[in-house]
Amino acid sequence: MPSLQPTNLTAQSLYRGRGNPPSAHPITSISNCFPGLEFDFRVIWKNVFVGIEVHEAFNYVIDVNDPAIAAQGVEPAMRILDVDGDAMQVDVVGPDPAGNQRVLGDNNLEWTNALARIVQQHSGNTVRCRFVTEGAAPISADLTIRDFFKDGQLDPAVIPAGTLTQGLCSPWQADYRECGCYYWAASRPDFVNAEPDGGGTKGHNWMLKDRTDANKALTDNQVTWDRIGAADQISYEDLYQAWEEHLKFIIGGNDQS
Amino acid sequence: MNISLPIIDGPVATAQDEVARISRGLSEAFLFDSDAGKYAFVVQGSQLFRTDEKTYAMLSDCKDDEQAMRAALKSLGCRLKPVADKPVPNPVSAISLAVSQKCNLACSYCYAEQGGFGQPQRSMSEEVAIGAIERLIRDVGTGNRVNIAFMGGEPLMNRRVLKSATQHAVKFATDHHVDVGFSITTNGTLLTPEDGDFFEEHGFAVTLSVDGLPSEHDHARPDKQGNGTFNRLMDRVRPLLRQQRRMQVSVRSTVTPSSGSLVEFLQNMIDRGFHSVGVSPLLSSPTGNGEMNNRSLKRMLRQMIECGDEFQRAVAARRRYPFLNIVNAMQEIHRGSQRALPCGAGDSYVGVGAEGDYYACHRFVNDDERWMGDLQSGVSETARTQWTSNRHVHMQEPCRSCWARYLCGGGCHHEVIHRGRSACEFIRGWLAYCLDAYAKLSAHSPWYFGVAD
Repeated sequence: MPSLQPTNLTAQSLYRGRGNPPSAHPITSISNCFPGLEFDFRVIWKNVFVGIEVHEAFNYVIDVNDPAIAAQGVEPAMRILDVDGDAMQVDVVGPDPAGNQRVLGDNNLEWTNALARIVQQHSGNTVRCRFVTEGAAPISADLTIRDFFKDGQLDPAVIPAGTLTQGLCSPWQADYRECGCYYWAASRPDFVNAEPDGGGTKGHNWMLKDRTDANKALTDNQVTWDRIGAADQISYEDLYQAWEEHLKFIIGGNDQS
Repeated sequence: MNISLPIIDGPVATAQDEVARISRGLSEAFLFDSDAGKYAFVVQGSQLFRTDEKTYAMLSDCKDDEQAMRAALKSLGCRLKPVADKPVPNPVSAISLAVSQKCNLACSYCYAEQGGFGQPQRSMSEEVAIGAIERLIRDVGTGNRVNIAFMGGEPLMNRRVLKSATQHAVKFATDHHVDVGFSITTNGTLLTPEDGDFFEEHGFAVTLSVDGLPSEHDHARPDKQGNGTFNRLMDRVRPLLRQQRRMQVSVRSTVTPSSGSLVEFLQNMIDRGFHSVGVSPLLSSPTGNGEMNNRSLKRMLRQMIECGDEFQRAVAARRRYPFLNIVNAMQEIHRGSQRALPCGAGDSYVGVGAEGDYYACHRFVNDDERWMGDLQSGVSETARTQWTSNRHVHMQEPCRSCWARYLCGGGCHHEVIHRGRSACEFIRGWLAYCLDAYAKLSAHSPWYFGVAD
């Protein structure tokens, strides 16, 4: 069978190996790195701080493995506020219904941008970070930035082959949880079974397991992003196993049983 | 590989030969048989592939048919990457300052005609130099890098402005959070140890014009009294060679039909401690003196290949051999550079004349047709866009259908405008040699390209 063996860098970057789909190249791919349909960079960020595990979404601390870091007050479920003085979340400012500009809430920044300077300047070094638990004062802790680049590429000794794709078995099912209606290629509701309720609207977050009338609530209580991962919501595993059963078909904004 | 030999020893190609050759489907891929295997260089995207016998034969069958070649490459998983017809405009990030449009030497072939560019000799004022520098830094914006090149004439004939402009650039760039790099091209005969201190302090790339071993250089580059200048410049540059840490002191050599052995010259310069040595043929001079013809270009190509072979032996032995022409070619081929233009002239780089006018490059100073604005109104975007559109390699003949078009970019604008494309065979021969050298190096010495053995 005839074949080409790419030799220089442009050949390596443009060549599509036999059997690879068109999306094997960043140039032809969706190139969405959150989590990414071709690769998931969040799995790199998960270990960017030595001694703790974090999740890029919501700047969330998943686990603390190093007792010395725990001794500094860092605990699971905390959120990262800033790293070496660089903010990891920002206030979102916009017009309220009366047209006045005000702070509408906060939003976490994408780490590929927010941590770029930190990784470039401080890999292998310790930096001061601030963490917060809702309702408590922020705490400071010194953490080491993992050095995972070597010669401009991911160091295979730190990031073994396969890491970037290990979480991609079912990216589109996962995206039901990862994305909101504003970031979905086809129709995808956030809030279903809605009905007027006094001056507001009550209904269900589409990710709720229990979508009975008794479990309806006002929009603000259910769609808020902070609730992702709550026990009453459909899990990744639920989606992988039986997405159609849990999500149901939504017609006219309502569940079809 | 035997690529170079037919070009060197064969009959001189006529224009008809050229048209016949390039119409044979070679505009999509250049195939060559190397000691390291059989290779296809795919023009769109400057991609190099090693092939097996069967693939090579299949591609060879398509040589007469561009469409068939494209289809064959695509069927093999190769993605062609076309260059847009409209160049993407780059911000101006480099200028040259003709601080001194006069010279103390009398080189007969000088494009600047002894510094004055065909007009009375003059020096750039501090005001003009600083004005051009401030505009460059302001326009490029925070976080970017600019390069400032001091040219002439002989720039050291206006040392005062060179130094004050450099110091001002450092301060102004720091205030605007812009990185700045400096370079100077000099004949070396006026260098002082204090200049060395200054260039070292500011990390200058210092390029000396040295045109061969002593007798050749003295013949090509006499002073106004007709005396040779080789020993004078070597005496002057010696302290700088010992001093270079931040600065780099390199040689650029213009090759004429009377030049001697390149390999000997290169070794001589390397032994003296120069950081690197580059050579370039004299294709166009105002008087026609010293211009290379087909025969002398073939001889030069043979000599460059001799130096290239020495470079390959040096890499195999992990020894430094800073022959810039091949060092740069290896990097460009490795990266797969794809040029719509041969250089930054009139695009990201412009030349500033002594009176504060912008020109497409340092060689076009005082050339009204290549005028690109003045200090008062800045570089003319209209002139720049028109220049880059007209000079785009897709607009050039016979470049449009040449396999080497995106490695070459169409050749030096100044030389092509004044003499035409007289060196295409020479350029293609050298690039073919370099592709072969790259194929061998990437197979046998991958470490050279930062890849583990």
